[in-house]
Amino acid sequence: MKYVSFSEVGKIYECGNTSVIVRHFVNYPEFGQFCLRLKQFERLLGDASGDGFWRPLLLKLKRYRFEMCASPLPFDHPAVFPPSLSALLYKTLKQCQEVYPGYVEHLENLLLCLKTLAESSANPLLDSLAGLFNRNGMHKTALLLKESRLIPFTEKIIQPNIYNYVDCINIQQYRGPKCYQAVIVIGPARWYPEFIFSAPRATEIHLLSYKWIMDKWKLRPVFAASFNNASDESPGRQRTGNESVVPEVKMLIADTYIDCDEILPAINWDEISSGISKKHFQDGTGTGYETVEAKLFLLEGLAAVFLDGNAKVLVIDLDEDEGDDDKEEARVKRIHAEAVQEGMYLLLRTSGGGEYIIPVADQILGDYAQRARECQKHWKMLLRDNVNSKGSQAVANSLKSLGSVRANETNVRNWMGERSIKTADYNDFLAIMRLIKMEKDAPEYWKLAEAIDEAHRKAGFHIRKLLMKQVLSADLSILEKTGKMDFELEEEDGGSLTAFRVTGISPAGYTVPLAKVGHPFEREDDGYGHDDSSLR
Amino acid sequence: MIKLGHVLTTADEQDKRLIAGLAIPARAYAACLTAAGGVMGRASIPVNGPAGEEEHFNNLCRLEDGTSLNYITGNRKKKAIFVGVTTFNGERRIKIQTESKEGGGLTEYLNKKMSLAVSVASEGEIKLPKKQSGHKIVNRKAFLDNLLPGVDTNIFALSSRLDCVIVGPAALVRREATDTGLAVKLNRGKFAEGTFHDLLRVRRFLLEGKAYRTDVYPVSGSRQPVDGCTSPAVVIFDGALAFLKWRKMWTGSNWIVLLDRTGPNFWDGAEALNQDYIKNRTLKNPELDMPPVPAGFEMILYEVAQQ
Repeated sequence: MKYVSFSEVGKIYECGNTSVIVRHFVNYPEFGQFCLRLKQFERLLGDASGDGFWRPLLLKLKRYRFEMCASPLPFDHPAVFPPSLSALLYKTLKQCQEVYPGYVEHLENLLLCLKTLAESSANPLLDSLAGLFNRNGMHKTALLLKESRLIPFTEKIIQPNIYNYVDCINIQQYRGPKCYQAVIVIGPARWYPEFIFSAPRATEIHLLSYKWIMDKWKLRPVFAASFNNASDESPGRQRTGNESVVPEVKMLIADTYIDCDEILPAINWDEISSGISKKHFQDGTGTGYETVEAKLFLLEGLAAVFLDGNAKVLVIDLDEDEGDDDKEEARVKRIHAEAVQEGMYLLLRTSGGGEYIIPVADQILGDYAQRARECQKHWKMLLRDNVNSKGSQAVANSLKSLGSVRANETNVRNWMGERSIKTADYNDFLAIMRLIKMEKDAPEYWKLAEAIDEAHRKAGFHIRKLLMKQVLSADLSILEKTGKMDFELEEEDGGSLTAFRVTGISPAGYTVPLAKVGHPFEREDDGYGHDDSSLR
Repeated sequence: MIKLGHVLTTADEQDKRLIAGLAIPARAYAACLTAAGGVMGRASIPVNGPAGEEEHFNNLCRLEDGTSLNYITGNRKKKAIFVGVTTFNGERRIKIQTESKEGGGLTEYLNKKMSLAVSVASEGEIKLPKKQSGHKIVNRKAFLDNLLPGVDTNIFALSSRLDCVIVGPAALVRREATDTGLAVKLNRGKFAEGTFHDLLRVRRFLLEGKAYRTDVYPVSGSRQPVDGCTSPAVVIFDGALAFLKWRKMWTGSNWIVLLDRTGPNFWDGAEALNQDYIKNRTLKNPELDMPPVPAGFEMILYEVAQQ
């Protein structure tokens, strides 16, 4: 949240009072044909569309369809149609002739449509945009895109065609105080959060989307019993720009329209999760390693990361109110992963390898480091062995009889895990040491565990301090615009951290290898395998 | 928004609490504006109840000699000590000394009406100066006088009462309250300048011991009073998170819930408020003198039984 002046907020209220939504429908039959054929082809495949042969191809084609509907880029733009895609398509067609000969004709027709598009530099959305500018003499305009990833490409494309002073913005930026004469929204309204239309930042909102996309969006009331009549008083009075009638739902039956929700890429949480786990176990790194329950966080730039809900993560929260101490520093904080919300920026280590806290903590521990880590590994390994042979419930019972106060299945799992440094209570630790027949070493091991704990705290504080330096001097508006930003830590071997905007959080948790937690990876459902060096 | 704050702090709803939720296009200033309405609504109600001149005067008469006092004269506050009671021109008067013996020992005789300008100081023993002109009580008096017609703004600025609490982004509220220049139009095209803070007198932003009318509690902080300890006339939740996190701490007051449509947790906040409406509202709709809700806003208003 940023400070907003009184005059700025006055303009926002003025926009809310007067704004209108104007719908413009764009037609480009060749693209329409491709989109509808893709829909028909998927229906034809039915359940088979989810199998390993079709799914990768369909993902790519659907992402192309979505991105072409969501940005004013030409059909042959490499950002949405990389050269490698053609080769893959023809490879699939060849295989299809052998595996699924019954679908060849349909697939050929589909790929023919795509070929026509891929060889075309036509850009109907941009043409329509330019027409809109010329007709309405717009200045002080924003172009709102759903995908931040496509903004840099779009900026390059629109510059020679439309005036330079058009701001290309994403949804996050729209939340700011800046108001425009007009905002042009690319794609159907249902793709966007409701506040784009209910808290308008312009007196005119132009919705630009393809004619054959069915958009059933309607402003819904916020409260169960509004004191005012929401539908009469709220912003967003609608009218059509270049069509006399808004298409009605019944036209869907004619099979000449696609519901806008169908175009939007669906997030298959299970698939992303199983993809990374499978990879881990296939390459052998997962064998015998600890697994944890973690949630999947989707990140800006088609990346994702697993985070253990109980572990703490570093975040930049631009919505933070600076807290009790009234300082900017509150925006960088270490919070439990379960408290992370969409729109926050996760700080993850993307170069330098591994978790950053551990090497810094080891530096703090100095000569103790090796011995402390070895001892920690030792007692945890013996406890794990006990659990593997007797089961966690039996171990918990044994620990209780040996004097533990908090032993239960969950705590035992937690104590033997790598994430936990030590038990909170010495009596629990002593019970563990008794169980693994190391009672006489308990005082020394406890002391070392305390030293590790202290070093981790100091390391966290140190990293936060280093980061603060970077963050406070950085232009965070870039982070807001691109959803991603690198921070190099000012220390030898400091490595770098990348702040990623969180774009989604899985509703359920997944059991994943601990080694994969906290490390961002490229999503399996990223149809084009976008080259993202920061993830390596 | 000012009107909403005013109505919720002045409504005569016995054993009932009023709850208003507003879906707004931006959160900025909404809390300050509603709080301003709340403070203005309560400003004419005396802080210590309707104790009359007689009682106040008699209380002062019972003080021990040497008791430290505050004495308001004009727009200035002076130190004084109580030095007894006397009869002057046929009426009882209290004697207060405002300057030291070295400076001449100026002593004033105040009758019942004049004694309203005197209050017992929180400090213990004080040393009187040789001469004193006193401290200015209200820095922008014309601004406050025009916002609070009929209210003695000196007394307003010297007496504490928690009329409003804002739970929200404290640092932002501070900037909005203290850095934003406002003005009230006077006669002949002149303006009296001031800030929200002049009116709100936010405890958090004032020096220790200064009189307050409002307080601010940060969403992320842990400094929230235990439920029931403090019940201001109205609590303003500045944002969905403030409401979701802290609403249970403020169940003795009326609520204004400001939900920024662009803010995080907007729909969660709206859902929590809708649930409260469904579960707890009384069947009677509050009859309040409210202006029409402006376009771009959506409002819910209901009453619940006081727990």
